[in-house]
Amino acid sequence: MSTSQTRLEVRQLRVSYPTHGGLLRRSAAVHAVERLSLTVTTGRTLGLVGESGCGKSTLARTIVGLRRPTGGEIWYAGERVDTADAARRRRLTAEIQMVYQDPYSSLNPRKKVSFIVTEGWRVHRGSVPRDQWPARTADLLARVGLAAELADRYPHQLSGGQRQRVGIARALAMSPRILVCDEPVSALDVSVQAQTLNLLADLRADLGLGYLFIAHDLSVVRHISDDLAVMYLGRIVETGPAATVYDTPAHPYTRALISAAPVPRPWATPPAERILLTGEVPSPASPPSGCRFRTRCRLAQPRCAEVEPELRTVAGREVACHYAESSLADASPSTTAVTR
Amino acid sequence: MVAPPHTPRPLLTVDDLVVSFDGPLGAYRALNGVSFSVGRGETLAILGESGSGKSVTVRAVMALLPRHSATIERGTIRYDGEEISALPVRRTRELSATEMAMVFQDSLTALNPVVRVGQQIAELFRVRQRTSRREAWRRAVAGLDRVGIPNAARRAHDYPHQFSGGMRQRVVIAMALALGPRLLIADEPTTALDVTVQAQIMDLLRELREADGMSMILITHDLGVVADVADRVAVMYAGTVVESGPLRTVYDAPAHPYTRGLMASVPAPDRPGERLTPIEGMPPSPLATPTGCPFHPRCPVARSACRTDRPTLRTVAAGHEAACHYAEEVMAGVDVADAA
Repeated sequence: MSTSQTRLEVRQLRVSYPTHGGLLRRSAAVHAVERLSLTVTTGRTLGLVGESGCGKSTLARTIVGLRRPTGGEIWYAGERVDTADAARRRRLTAEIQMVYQDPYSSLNPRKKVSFIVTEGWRVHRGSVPRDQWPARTADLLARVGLAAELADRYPHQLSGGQRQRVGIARALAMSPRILVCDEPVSALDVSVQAQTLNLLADLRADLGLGYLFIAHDLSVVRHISDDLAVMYLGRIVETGPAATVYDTPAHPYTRALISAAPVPRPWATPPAERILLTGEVPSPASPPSGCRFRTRCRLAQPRCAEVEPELRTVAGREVACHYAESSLADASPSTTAVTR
Repeated sequence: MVAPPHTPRPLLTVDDLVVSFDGPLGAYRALNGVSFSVGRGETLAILGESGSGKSVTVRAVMALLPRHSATIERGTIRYDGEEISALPVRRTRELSATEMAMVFQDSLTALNPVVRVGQQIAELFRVRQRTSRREAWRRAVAGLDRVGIPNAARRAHDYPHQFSGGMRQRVVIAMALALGPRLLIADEPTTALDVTVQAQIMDLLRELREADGMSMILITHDLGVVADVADRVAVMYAGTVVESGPLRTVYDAPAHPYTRGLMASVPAPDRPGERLTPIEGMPPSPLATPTGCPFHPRCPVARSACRTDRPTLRTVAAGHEAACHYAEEVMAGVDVADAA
């Protein structure tokens, strides 16, 4: 690993929401993220997939400092972020910026683009001298492929794709090393989505950024990611090189997720077995005992209800399943056919 | 995919439909000559990006356009040989209550939040078929059971908010199918759902369609969902159908540059990381539709004729229509650079 790489590390992170209420006014906690570890390295993209309610957005918000973790550690560039004092934390997290899903609600409708993009410089006083703001704003807009005159527009005067570019420009204003992208293209139309994905790929190459790319669309995540992590009910169930995880998934949930994703031209690829999961994701307020996926898993055994599987290395990736080997063997006939 | 049974007269024919709206920013045409047909037992997917007019089209068919702001300027809608666009809205509504049914994207707003779901379905039998209260309830429970709701007899007493998103969409489907429609219109039925639940709902729709021999119109922006269920596909752009034909023909040999652009915009699962080829620019505003071909400002093969002459849908191969002056070249896969 070269010395110019900077790492963002999340170790055994736990984020809980307090829940109050009920007749007896008892309070309990929902663990939206539970003992989760991951690493984002500059120049690379870690794709994170999971269904709604799995905790991926909570994770993103915690990493950029919008929520405090209830347990675990966040490290950036060799320094611990979550326990640092306010000034230090602010300095560290300036290099970790976020791109939001909805370009309609994440931009202040009453402010012009020029104000939105320079917001970070207002918060971090002195980071960019005021007389340089117009020139730097023009640079940023050019960088994301927007015409300089759009600086005087309001968000409602822009298309969805342009708004998302403004959101990216705002994130880039702080000269970040890491971008946390939370569903950055899912609100965009297909043709605009492709433009935005190309832009993100260019920025990563030109600026050496590291991405944590969160999405529910597997084809998009596979397209942009070097590594993949699959989340289910607050935990990572499988993670490893994108090609390994996507082409030969070992966790039964990953297999189901990949097989359920609709493919544009299914006849162009060999027919893969379709695994239909029954039911829906259980509530994170009362996750199943043992393995959290066992209630929907067709390989589940009595042991799965008793012992929660931890991530362990199986065939070049990490997977949290007691029966990952049999899951892989079970899948092998169809996966050998898919491997080109 | 099995070819649809061919019968001489389609169930639904829409011909040269023009719908205008009186909006706050002035009058505009949302539909500018939409033509398509749906055969008996056939599933037609209407594919288009936001603002292309796909939802307006089916709302016109269902007589659900807002009465004060929308006008059908021109064109005909024929259902089973009868011209329903000429009928009073009331009569169309009657028809649309029994013969045609619609499933909307957002199941929460499609259901009455303060009425038990069983009651909402039973009401249809009471009003439309004048059945007894007891018989109506019995049929409602049977309907819920048919769409795969566990413990239907008990769940029929529940309110919409007590169901998960996927289960609620099943309730909406049960309601749509209650009176045995011959045409089911599904407007983005799975867009709000997670991938694994989406797969369940699409499987359910496919099963029900096959069991009942229903025709179906599926509106979606997702090329993969289309490939999953459709026999034929109609691609919409800026208020018109720019291409229609059998699914595989349109996907494998698109005859319109817009369709070709859409196909190239989607990340291919077997070529991760490869640069995408987006369609440049963005869809036109309905307030300022370009002259000539509405796609010409974004089209890589556009020539001078495209700026002045508006192409109409014409047959380019058996059952395959496209609205492009140079459809034959596009189909032959003439390279963009060569043509330009």
